[in-house]
Amino acid sequence: MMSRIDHIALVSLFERARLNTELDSKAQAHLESCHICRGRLNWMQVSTGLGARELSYDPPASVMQNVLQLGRNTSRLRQLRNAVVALLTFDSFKQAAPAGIRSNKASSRQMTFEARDVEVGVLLRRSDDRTFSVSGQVLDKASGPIQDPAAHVDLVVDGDHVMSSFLSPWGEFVFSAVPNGPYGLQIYFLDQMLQIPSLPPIDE
Amino acid sequence: MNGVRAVRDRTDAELIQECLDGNGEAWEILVHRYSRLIYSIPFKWGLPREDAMEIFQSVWLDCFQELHSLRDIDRLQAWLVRIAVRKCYRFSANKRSRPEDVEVTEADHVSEDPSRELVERLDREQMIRVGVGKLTERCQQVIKALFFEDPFPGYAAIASRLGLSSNSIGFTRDRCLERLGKLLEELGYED
Repeated sequence: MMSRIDHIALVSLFERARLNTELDSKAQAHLESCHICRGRLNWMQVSTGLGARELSYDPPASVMQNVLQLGRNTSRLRQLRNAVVALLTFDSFKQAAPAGIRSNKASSRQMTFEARDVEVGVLLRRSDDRTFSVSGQVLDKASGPIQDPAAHVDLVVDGDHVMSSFLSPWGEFVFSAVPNGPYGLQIYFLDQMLQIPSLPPIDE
Repeated sequence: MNGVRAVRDRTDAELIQECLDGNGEAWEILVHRYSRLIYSIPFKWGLPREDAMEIFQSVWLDCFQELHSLRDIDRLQAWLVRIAVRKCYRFSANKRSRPEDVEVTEADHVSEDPSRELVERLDREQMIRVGVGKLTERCQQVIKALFFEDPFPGYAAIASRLGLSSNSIGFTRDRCLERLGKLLEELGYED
């Protein structure tokens, strides 16, 4: 006759977790040596911990609608499908200092990024209060400023879009009083999205 | 036999690609899959409902805007949690006093990256949601009554709701608990 491991009855574990009913000494001793029963008790305790609040974790319908609507934004989806990474083509830090000039801690850094027929100039500037400004200009190489009133730039940290700036009629954008951090830019215009995954810092 | 899985059963990466291809249903499934998880996080920080609503929308807006970079992601859930926690950290840092009734530890208030403890707890809670979602409608009712109603309604009330006698509720309860336990095991639940 095969031996059988007698685990603690599920109802006893449930009542321990949910109703705080004490296990008898035999069950308690078994619990201490049985990872299966401990695992079962654990998920029941976690479920109990969720409790009545779990049912309140459904967002309001209006909020859900706002989020679900995003998926119907076909023009933005087109931009995302056409996403391209812009490459660094100019960096003021790579320029040699003129002869006789002592190098000081830089207070600004100028860069140019390019992708397809678009050029993005970016200026990082340190402020007196230790924050930074990130500003720049987006230009079509052939025709100048991008003609799209909805064009905008997002300042991004590891996928977290922290700020957004519309492009001016001259293709300019600015983010002021930005704390130090590893930022990237995403530039949305027409049916494109240009990505600058990581801006080099001023201090390097 | 049709080998194409239902859209609902597709992986996060597959759904993201479907989103990029313009399939609005895929986005809806993705949002519903993680909506309770994301919406619950601000409350664990003691933030009010208005902040929770704002953070929820902001997380999904970020997700939508990052779809192109998320299509190969291994664990979308971890990404969503990280973004949500960062936003909670910033929201609560702007408050004059620390909210009461929080469920996060001191470590979570120190760094904007989620603590391992918080991530593991959220993972377990989400697995339970997924497991409950895979139960039959009847078992879902049973499990919700057992765990998610406060106060506990009692076996007689649960039996009455299900149209069962008090004598047979125990069998139904045990069957549903066992089924949920097996599902959690398949999902890789670890204590």
